[in-house]
Amino acid sequence: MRIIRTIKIDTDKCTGCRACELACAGFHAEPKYSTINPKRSRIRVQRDEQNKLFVPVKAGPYTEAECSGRNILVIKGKEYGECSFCRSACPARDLFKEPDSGLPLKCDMCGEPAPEEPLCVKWCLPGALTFHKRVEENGPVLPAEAEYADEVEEL
Amino acid sequence: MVYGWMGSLLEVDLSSGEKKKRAVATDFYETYLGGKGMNARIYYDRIHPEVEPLSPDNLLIISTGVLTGTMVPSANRAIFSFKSPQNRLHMHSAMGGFWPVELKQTGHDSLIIKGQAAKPVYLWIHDDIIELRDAAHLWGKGTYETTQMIRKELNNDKLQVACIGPAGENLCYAASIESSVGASASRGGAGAVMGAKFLKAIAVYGTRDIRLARPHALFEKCEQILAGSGPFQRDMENFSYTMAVLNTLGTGMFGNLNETYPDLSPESLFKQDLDGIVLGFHEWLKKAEGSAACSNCGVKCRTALPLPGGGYAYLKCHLWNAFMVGAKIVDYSFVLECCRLSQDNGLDINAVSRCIAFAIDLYQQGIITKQDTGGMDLRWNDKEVVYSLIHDISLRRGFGRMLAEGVHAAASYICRGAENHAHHIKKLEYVPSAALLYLPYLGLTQAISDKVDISRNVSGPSIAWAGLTTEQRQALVDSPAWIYPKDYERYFLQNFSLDGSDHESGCRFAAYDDETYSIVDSIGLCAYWTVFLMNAPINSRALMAELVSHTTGLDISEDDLTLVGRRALNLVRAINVRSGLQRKDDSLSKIIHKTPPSPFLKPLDPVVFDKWLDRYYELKGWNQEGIPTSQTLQALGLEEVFPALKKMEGAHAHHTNHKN
Ligand code: SF4
Ligand code: SF4
Ligand code: SF4
Repeated sequence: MRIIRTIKIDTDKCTGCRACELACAGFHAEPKYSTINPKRSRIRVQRDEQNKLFVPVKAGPYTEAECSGRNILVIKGKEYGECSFCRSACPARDLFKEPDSGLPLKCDMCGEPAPEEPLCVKWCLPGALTFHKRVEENGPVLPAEAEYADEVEEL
Repeated sequence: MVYGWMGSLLEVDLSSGEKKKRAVATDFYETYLGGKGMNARIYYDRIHPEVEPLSPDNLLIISTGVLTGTMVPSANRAIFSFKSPQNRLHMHSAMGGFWPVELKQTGHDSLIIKGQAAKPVYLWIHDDIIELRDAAHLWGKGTYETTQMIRKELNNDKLQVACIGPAGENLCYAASIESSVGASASRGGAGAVMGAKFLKAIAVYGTRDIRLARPHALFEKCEQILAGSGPFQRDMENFSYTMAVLNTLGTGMFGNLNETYPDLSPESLFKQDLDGIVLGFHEWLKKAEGSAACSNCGVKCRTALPLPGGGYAYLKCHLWNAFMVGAKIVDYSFVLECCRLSQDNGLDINAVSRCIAFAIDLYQQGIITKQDTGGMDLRWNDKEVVYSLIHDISLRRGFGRMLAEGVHAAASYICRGAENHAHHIKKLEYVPSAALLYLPYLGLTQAISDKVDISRNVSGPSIAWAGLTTEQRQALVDSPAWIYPKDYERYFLQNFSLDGSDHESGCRFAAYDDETYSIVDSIGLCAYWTVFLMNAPINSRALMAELVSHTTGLDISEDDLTLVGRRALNLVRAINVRSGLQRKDDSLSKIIHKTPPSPFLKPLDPVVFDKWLDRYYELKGWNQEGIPTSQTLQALGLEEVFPALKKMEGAHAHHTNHKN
């Protein structure tokens, strides 16, 4: 048996309020909650008000090298670099790195012991972030799942 | 180490290019907490009565609140204070959105801008990197484009920009300072003060921590607030809707002051196709694509609507109705276009929509003609008229020159009886709600306001009060929506007559509410979350005191907080009295005393109004000239302010309103 924990992101419901950033940053402060600094958050909201595009992006793994070929996304008629929605802490940018030390940040689904609901989900009143947990029979972890599920916990 | 505050203030002199970062003394923070109060102190000490508002000597003082940027829901405000070019009095404009939190994260609680640049510049603050950069290429650009260009130029799509548009550059008195999702510092000509300094924009990006003294207690409190915010969230979802329907009707009902008075008789009201209007609005709302909100605010406050030419407009509150009522046009696509034009040109929608209504009214009354308007035919219900006036005003072009300094100034150029159509309080245009001004509470809150902005004066429960039955009032008093002290319950429960003669309740609530707003504007919260709406989750001073205490680690009681609010309010009053504000300025448009907009209403008797004012002053600890007494100031630790006020006493022969 294993539990797969996922956060579903509904960008249509996101109001771009960045409460998720503040909650995550506070939760991971040392000591807990002692500081607020969204630049330390493991979730950052890409905001383009003119195009009403609010996309929360959770920090993924650190990558040693930046992508060689980057794609261009066209959303509602406007062009965006692929980096805008990328999860990686990557040498090409400051996003998802501690502002002082530059160390990479990664979403840990709120560490151990895992809170009942991840903090960003709890603070997202508009319901853009929802938490889903499903139990699956044991079996080989499919590569696709291993890559995309946020946290796989073997029981 | 201070908690809550960042500990420093940044002062930038545009004339010399000098930038100074200074530590702020802890007791200064404790006395004022931030925002309105801190600004008022700096203003009192440094902007003297003879300073010309558009000269290099005026300061633009910007302070965040002690809670700004913390986990407290809606803690995202900064207050912009300056001497207003419109009435030469103190003005404090509040900005939400994301800019204030970003400023605070650069490590500065406050920013003071003085002097005047030799050519257009913009200010870039990135933590300790502080630069004045050339803005020649931005001058003349709208606020949307300016923001995009700065983000591109500094290669940072997450920095926040507060900037002026053409209206500010051209020193229009309705000019605002605009920022993200329609957040702006709008009232009193904030944009003109920036324009006069040749300061196009202030771009900020900060990476500093905001430290909290009792983090667990604060988080727990905030989670409780969120958990209990259900009714408020629902109200906010319906708020746009309520505003729109009310104000669609409002073209007849709310009383557009600028026209031959609307007919408020029951026949006329029910003649309107209410169902049709409601249905039409439902249809319209289907175009909405979700909502947007300010930093750390989880409610659906601003409705996002796609603009026909691409992009989005975000509508909330008076954006829905200001132009519809002003120009007598029931058409939501018109509202969208006006909203876009005002935000892009950097204009206060309340002020500019009233200027336009005033002009059309004068034309319709034959007071002005095509000779004055440069050939323009000013008709009600004509979108093109409104669009061209918005452009002409922001560019001070043609007839727009006449309107660029507001209705009061325009009326004094025009003469010919125009002043009888110029509706303003202390020379500031105000939200059209004529019919409401007849109630002591509402009339008074507007007349005495140091900002003349309905969302800085009135509270949810008191607005609702007149419309509630005795049982409903009792239920409200027993519910969490009750915001006043225990001994105010009887004023809320008692019945009252509609002629304004029993004013005790109204005066008490007015005198309590403006103090609460001063607290809210000093600690950095949003008016909706605190006072303006009935189910506001942070509506009690006790709760606010707790949040400030957990944030700072200081033990701030409810009474301490009350003093902070009172201190800010009295300092602003002192500044204004010192600048010549008199009792007669605490008044409503003359028309309220002459011709009411409905056969329901009798003209408001000036003698009655004077009684409201007498009582309000008494409750405030001000003398009958509206000047704070030395005891009042002493209790607030402001006794050194008194001599300057003493000089003003009797400087103007004591006139009550009805005598002049
Ligand atoms: S808290 Fe929710 S609505 Fe707000 S920005 Fe984050 S995901 Fe979007
Ligand atoms: S799940 Fe937890 S760690 Fe991950 S982004 Fe949300 S709050 Fe941060
Ligand atoms: S309620 Fe509206 S104005 Fe207030 S903080 Fe939220 S989004 Fe901003």
